[in-house]
Amino acid sequence: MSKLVWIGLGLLIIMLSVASMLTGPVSIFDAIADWRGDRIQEWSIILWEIRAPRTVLGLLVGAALGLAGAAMQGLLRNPLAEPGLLGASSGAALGAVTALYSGLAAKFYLALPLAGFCGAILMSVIVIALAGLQAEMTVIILAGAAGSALCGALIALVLNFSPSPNAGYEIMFWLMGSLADRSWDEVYLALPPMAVGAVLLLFAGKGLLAMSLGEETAHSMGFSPARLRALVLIGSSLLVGGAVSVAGSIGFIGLVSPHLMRSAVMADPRRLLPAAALAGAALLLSADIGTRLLVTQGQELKLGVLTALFGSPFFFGLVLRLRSRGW
Amino acid sequence: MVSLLEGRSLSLTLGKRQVIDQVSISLIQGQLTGIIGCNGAGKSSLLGLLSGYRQPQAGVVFLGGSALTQLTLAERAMLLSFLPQGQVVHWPLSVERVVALGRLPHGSGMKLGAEDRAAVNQAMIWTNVSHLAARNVNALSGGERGRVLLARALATQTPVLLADEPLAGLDPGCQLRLMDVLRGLANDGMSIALVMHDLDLATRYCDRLCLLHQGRLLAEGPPEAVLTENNLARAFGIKAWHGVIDNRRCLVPITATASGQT
Repeated sequence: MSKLVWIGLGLLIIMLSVASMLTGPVSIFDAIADWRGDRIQEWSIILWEIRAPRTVLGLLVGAALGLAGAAMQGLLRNPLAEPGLLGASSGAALGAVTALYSGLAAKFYLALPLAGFCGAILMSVIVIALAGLQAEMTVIILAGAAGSALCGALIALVLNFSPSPNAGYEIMFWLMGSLADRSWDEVYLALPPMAVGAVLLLFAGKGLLAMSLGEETAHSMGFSPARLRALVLIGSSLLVGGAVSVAGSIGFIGLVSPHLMRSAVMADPRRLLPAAALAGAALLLSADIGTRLLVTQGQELKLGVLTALFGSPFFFGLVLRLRSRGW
Repeated sequence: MVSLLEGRSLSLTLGKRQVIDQVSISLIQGQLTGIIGCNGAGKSSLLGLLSGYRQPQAGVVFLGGSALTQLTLAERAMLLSFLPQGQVVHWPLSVERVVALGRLPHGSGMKLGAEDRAAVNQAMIWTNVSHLAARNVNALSGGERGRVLLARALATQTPVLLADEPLAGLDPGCQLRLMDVLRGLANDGMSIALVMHDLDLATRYCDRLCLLHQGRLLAEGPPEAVLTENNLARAFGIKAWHGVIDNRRCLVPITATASGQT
């Protein structure tokens, strides 16, 4: 049973990756028809410099959000926890918005994602410092909510002060999230923090499993709740920071992926980590392929819009399921 | 008499309230110790201190001859298993998986070795939950879930067991069978401390009782020495009938006095 799940997810991701390489404004069939022509150079650029990094980023960002979501839900033992809870997403948004507003974003390439990443990490540090590692779950959630509210207010303030409508548009588009026009540089930027975060979370797996029985029991079985909190909070912040800095705000993937996989791994919070990562990768990549297919007025649909559009009905479904038989 | 777990003059303050005041307690190998007292007397807090989950403001806990603070959490987990109050399982895990979590201190995750499997099966037999193995633990009744969680604690196979109200929500038959099992485990050499409210079962099964009152140890010793008329009146505000049935002491609470629990 469980082996099938892994194989299925793996196959799905391979298929989506191929589809992602084939999808875009220029059709792959033209290239085949043009096999002997001069445009082969152009084609290798489109495939290797545009679609390949976009596909890899889609997988990485989706996996990061799914993994962080599963870890946060395991730590807080709450199926509604999502990776942005700690303020990393809103911190990244604030960082990016500040970079756009101040003109820093135009100064050098990658200034925007770097500012986003710094914002995410800064906000996570503030929230973790505010809550403390000994804190109860409610305190952590409240600290995250307070941090996110502050970021939201500051973003609105920046939008209010933004000098030209253009800056306002740019900010709004960034907030909607997208993987369009990304290059390998973004991959190199996001990969290191994501890799460190993923390793930290994989160390937390057994502790999260023990945490299913509550903090006191986990402690008596040899797992320090404070250490577990540190691993998960820092790991998730790095993953979300890396993801949001290159892709902008993308909701629901971190919340939905663990839910999709929970019954497949029989609710085991440890096995849920890799499963939710794979599901997140598949979901985000399909959403990104969707944005390329749904072009409006010469512009792709924004990724965050699509994930929210499909994510919120999932919420409705979750409520209905909770109502009838509990999770 | 070997004592594997000993707390020396433990004190604990939560907020501004002194919940444990200078309590010394020692669990003797092969004995079943009952920790009794009215609601809010400090029983669960005392277990929290003995398990190491809470740090005492004063006093030391010794486990297997070393101060608890000298042992790593992993070392402690191999010596002492702890069943807290509450019966909480946060995810819809199967009964068998919950019990298997008891093998985590042995380094076993979801892949169980032959020894782990034997320990899990044995624990499920002890608490009579084998027939529920594949069920979702959150779909069980409170009493069934309580037994599953006790099985988890027993599956670790530690020399010391601390259990906070393991009999809560169990029917009379289950209570008696469980006490028989715990009595047998103690006879085989385990040191067991139970927080319990049933003074009759405490009288019949425990070697020693620790009676807590307002965070202090009011009395300690064999049941007949602890559950005196005076102590029962002072700690619980009750009068009880003492008697002997089938050569076993028993106790039935009869009336609650108005001035009780002060």
